[in-house]
Amino acid sequence: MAPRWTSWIPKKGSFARQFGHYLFRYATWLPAFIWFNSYVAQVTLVNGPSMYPFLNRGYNEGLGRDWCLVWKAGVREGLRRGEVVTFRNPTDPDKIVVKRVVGLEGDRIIPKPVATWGTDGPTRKVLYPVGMVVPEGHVWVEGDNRDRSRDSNYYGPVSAGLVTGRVVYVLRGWRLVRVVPEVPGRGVVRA
Amino acid sequence: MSSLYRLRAITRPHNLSPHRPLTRLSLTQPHPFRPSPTSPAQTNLSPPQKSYSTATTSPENTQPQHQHRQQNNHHDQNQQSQNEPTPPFPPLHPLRLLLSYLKLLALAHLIWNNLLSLAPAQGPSMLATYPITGTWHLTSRLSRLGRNLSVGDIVTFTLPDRPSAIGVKRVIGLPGDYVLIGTPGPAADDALMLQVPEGHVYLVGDNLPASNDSRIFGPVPLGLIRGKVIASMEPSFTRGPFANFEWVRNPMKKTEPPTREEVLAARDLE
Repeated sequence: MAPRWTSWIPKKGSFARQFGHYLFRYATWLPAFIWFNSYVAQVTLVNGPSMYPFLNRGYNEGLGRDWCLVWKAGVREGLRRGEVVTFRNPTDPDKIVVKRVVGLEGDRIIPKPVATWGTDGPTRKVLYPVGMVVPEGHVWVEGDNRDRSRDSNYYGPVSAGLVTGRVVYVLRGWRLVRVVPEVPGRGVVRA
Repeated sequence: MSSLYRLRAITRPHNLSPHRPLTRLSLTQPHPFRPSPTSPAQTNLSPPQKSYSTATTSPENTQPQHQHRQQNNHHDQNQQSQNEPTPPFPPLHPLRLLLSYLKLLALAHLIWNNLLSLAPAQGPSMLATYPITGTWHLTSRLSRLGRNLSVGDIVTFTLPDRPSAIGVKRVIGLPGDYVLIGTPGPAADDALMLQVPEGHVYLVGDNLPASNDSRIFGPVPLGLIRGKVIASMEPSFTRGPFANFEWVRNPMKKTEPPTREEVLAARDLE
């Protein structure tokens, strides 16, 4: 005996009518999935070598990229040093960047030199004052691959409002690795 | 008269008639050994059916079952079940109703964050344009992340130094524009120009003396822009929800660069 609620599904009808019915039923799940991906958690691929060797360890060996699970709910409040976060690129808001949080607000930072254009050609320069304090509401992010990373050493401290998520799991081969905050041993004087 | 009818029903099945084709036995037909299905006492004797809805009464309970069987019948025999109402849409299964409600909530949240939102604002920083309290802003979220912005628009944004706060200011400089860092006026100490960096905007409030804006916290990254204010209203209990409703007009007008003749004429005047 069919339950009562199924009696509005067209049992006999043209293929178009039944197809349309099921299409509508499954299409109403689309906003729910989009909402989940935007505000709860998202599975995403990581591009580029800027977090080598933590992410994309096989960057020089093949075309494979790492899958990771990005947790999006309640991320801006509990930022800790050493976490890998995703945030909107300060120079291009449509792009999402994955880097590691090295300094929180109030920390003193020793910025690294980055490749820029000097007076005589390409040089490596430190763009920000050594020992600068990360302003309130901002974080200092850096990629693990110091030479191939466009990060806060290039565009300065990033506002915490730009942070969109936190990488919690990385799929390496067939193993799911939980991401633990590891603070690199470099020049950060905590507040 | 009715007893004669029942006698005929016993001797000759009701669906073997020369005028009607052979069809499956329908439970809605009066049968000598089965009471009429429309009586309220019949629900206990009807074949067991799983009924998930708790909000319906028993006569309605039996109708859709018959309607379901009617669909298998290629011959509409029973006049009384043709005019039955279809079950209400969306379905009344409680778990499915909850799921539909959650899906609607997700859609509403997406619309709020990506299409249109309405929120109150307070503060003295836009005083010539908006009063200190009582104004509600209708924000078009299609302009989030700095899409389709022009100088003179009023935007809502997350404060760069306090990510838990939201501000409302006017766009003074787009990426690449040259803006004055300080306050315009006779004070010469902060008369410095700045080129707004790529991916940032320069936001200044209309009430310059009492505005915490880009002159203090610097250019704002476009990723913090939430949307553009397209309308404002001052709802109150006495005047209604749309009191003082007005669409926001961008006061800036695009000007063409001066032609060569205008430049020469201006030079001649000096």
